[in-house]
Amino acid sequence: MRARWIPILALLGLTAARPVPQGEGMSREQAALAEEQALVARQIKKLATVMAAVEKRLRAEGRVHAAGLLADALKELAEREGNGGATLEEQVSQSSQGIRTGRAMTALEEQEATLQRLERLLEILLDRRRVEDLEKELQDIGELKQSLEQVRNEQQSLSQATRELGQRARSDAQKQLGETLDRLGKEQRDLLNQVEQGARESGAFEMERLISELARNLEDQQLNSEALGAWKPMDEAGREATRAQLAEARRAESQAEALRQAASQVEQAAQNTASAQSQNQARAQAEPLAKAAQAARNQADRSGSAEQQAIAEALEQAAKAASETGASQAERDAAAQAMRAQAENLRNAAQQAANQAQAQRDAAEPWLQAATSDEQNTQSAALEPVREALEAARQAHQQGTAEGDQEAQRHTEDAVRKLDQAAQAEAMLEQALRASQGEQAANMERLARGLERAQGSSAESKEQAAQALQEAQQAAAKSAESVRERSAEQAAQQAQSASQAMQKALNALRSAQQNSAERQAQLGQQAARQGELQQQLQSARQNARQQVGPDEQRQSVDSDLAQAEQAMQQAQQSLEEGQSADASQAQREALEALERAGEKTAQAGQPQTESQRQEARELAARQRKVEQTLLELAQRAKERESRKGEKAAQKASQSASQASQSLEDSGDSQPDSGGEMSEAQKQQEQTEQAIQEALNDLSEEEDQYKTLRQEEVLFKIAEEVLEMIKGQKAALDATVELDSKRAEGPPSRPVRLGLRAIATDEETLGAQAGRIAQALAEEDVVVFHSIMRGVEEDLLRIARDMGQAGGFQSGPVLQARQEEALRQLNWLKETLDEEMRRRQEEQNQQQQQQQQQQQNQQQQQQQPLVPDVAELLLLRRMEVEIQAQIDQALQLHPELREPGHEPDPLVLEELVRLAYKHQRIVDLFKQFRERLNIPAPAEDPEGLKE
Amino acid sequence: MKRTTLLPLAALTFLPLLAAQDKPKDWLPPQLSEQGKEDPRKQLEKAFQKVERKLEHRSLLLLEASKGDTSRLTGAGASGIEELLKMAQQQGSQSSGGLSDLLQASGQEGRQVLEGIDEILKIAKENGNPNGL
Repeated sequence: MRARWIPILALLGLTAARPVPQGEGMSREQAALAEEQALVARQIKKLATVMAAVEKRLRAEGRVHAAGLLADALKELAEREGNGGATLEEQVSQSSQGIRTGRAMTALEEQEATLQRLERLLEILLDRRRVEDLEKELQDIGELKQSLEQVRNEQQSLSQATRELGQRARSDAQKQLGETLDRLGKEQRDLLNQVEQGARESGAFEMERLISELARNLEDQQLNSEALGAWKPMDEAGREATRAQLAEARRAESQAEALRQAASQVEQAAQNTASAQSQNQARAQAEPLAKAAQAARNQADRSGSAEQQAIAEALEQAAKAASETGASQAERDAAAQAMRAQAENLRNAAQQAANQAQAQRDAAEPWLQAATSDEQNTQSAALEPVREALEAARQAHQQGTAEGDQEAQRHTEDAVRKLDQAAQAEAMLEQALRASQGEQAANMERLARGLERAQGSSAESKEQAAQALQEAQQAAAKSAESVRERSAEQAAQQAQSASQAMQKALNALRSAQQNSAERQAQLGQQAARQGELQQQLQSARQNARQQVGPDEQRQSVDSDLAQAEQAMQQAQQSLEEGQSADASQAQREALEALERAGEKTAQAGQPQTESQRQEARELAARQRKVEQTLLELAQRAKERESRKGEKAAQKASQSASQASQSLEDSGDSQPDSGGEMSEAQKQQEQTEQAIQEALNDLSEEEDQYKTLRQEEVLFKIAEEVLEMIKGQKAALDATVELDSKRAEGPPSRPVRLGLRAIATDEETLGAQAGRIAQALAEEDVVVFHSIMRGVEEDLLRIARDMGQAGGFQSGPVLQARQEEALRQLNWLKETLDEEMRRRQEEQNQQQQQQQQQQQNQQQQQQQPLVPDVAELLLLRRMEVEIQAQIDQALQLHPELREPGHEPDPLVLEELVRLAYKHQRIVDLFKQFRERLNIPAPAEDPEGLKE
Repeated sequence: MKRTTLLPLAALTFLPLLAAQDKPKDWLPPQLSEQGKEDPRKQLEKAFQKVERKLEHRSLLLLEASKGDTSRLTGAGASGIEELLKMAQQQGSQSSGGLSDLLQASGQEGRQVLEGIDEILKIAKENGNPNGL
């Protein structure tokens, strides 16, 4: 871990590794070291100044998070630690002083402490939490959760005790009413079952359904008949002629408007010419007139319109007069006069066009008058707005003004639009009317089929009903056909016939419904029983009014019982009339009302005896304690940085307070004086809910801390593995070098010393591997842990074999084992790096989609330190490695292909090693599977079947 | 009131509204169900069990090879081995009847182990859990 910071710390000149000489006086080296330390102290001081300035700037820029990190770092710098309570800067100065005064051990200790504090500082600035801090947070959350769980358990027990007291405290009248309502409910349900069963068996339900449906259809058909009676198909020829007249009127109005506009333009030009101060000014009028004349000419050419032709000519004449005007005022007046004459011509032409338009409107009037004379039919209703618009146009035209004619033009356009709408309405109406009759015909056919299936009714009446339904079906179908042929009168008559036939069918069905004597008796009994139940309920209700519970509860129960009573009455009446379906419906309503009343009656009663009141007071005292504990927990949550769970715990404390107050009131109150016990129960439920909310909040935060902690653990492990890789590589290189210098025979003393040094390094690395393996095991990481444990064992064995006990080995076999350990460390490092990269990418994605991140955080489960997939990939890699080694063995030993060949013991030893390694993979895979709770495969000794 | 009755009256009075009502309504086809697809957890279990069986068998073959014991090549379990060898031969290996046959058979099992692991990874990915199982 420390290795990562070494370059940074080196920059500050800090290193604990430098030997500090002992003895009297200060050597040159000591002096240099002391000076370096003093320099570091000055740099720290400068760093604090810079950080303070940057913090201020960042805060001003609104970069709160970054500013916060700097503020924390400054706090860390100002922190006093150690025996002397020194700041970081002071600590470095003390180290310098220690060197100067020859107190080497003190200087070393100060430097060690300084290193740790610098690491912490860096972690703060990099916004990284230390594992220890995270674990402390997790511990705090865990303790808070545990306390909340305890208080939740106490609250649950308290709620249960309150419920039990509430039940015991119910008054006798309350209990009696509850029992009566239970009994009545049961008896009402039995009766309902009897009614429904009887109706099903007798076919009454089916018959009632048919009657009900036919009644609805009849009602519809009567309305349809009215609509058909009012339907009068529009006279198409008349409508088209009127449409053409109105279109012509609209065209004439439009031309009149164009003529009026041209007249205005010419008139204006004449005025300008007369008032012009110069010949040029007068002649300037010519250009716009000429342009307008050209436009009118073009339009006249395109449309062949005489009016446009007239406009073009008048404008041309006016333009000519303007362009040829002389220099004198008299000549300009003459030109203006000529132009006014043209304007007058245009106005006259406009009046003529408007008169033509009115003539067209007048021509349309007689047909419209006739079509709308009868207000009761659809044609009249559709065309009346057209007629009204034309009347408005006529009145406007009669004003004889340009404005009047403009208004007439608008009304004419309105009339055309309304006539088009009327045509559209006509088409849709016809379609709708036909559809309505077609649908009724289909309805009658369906009812007739239903009638065939209906049981238990009089055959004669059924036959009559079937016949009537058939008549109705035929009449409706004919009516639909008549609509299609636009024969309104016939269609209406046939619809009326269908309606009459439906009425006949309905009467026949009602006759068919007349029940048999046996059925009548059954219904009579059921009605009587229903009456009895209603009487019993009435009596229970009277008692309840006088005796049961506090006012509010009593009124509410009474209201439910009144509804139940009314529904029972309705059910009785329906049964007497033989209407099983209606009776069953009313009975269900009665049951629901009884159940509501029953639930309210079962609510907690007020303490009846002194002993019960005492019990309520004791519960209140317990509730007060819960309230107090919750308040304390809310305070503890508040003191934490995130304040998670604080609000919910406060809420819980408040409802607990209300609950204890209600319980106290219950303990002091008279029986039936109020609903405090019920209130207390509700408030206790709210308390439980709020406690759960607080727990959920804390669990959510706990998950976040676990994730952060994992990231840190992962980071540290990866760093340690990297350190180990470097160390192992160095050990391997040193072994190779030493072995190359080694002569035959027993190792020389320098070789032995060298091997011992490497062995010590290997032993240290082995111990490090052991620590990491332990950490991985604690995180429930199967494959990684096992590999690291294997590395630990390998390294310790290598260390042993390099020493005297192992005969000072350093040859290829030992080196191969060193390489193997190195390879496995590299695998682990690569996989850890990959995992850290993946987490980083995930974090980046989440930052981009913050909203989604919040949802995911709520949904996702805590992921393991090393994901399952990474573990599986590592196993796959190990399997591939084994295969590569087998392939290598086959290549190196072609004799293995020879049948009957006795293999070399060394080859067999190599194969044993491979078999052992493979067995480890199998064991790891099994452990991995078990961790995922996947069942083992079924027994298959040959291992060949899938 | 039913449509049968409503239509003619509405047509007369509320023509524009009716025109809007008569437009065909949008509808969505029912969601296609994924019936017939095996539960992912079951798929995962099967894949794990298959891999474990293959791993165990491979270990057994390697153990016998390390003892120099080729009796399995001609003994009771030979049919399974033959099948593995055939597969190995299809991939270019040659059968010899020696220890190498056992090693090749174990290699074939190893390939199936790798395929099985790939299958597990695929199931995990398809079920939206690329990191966990």
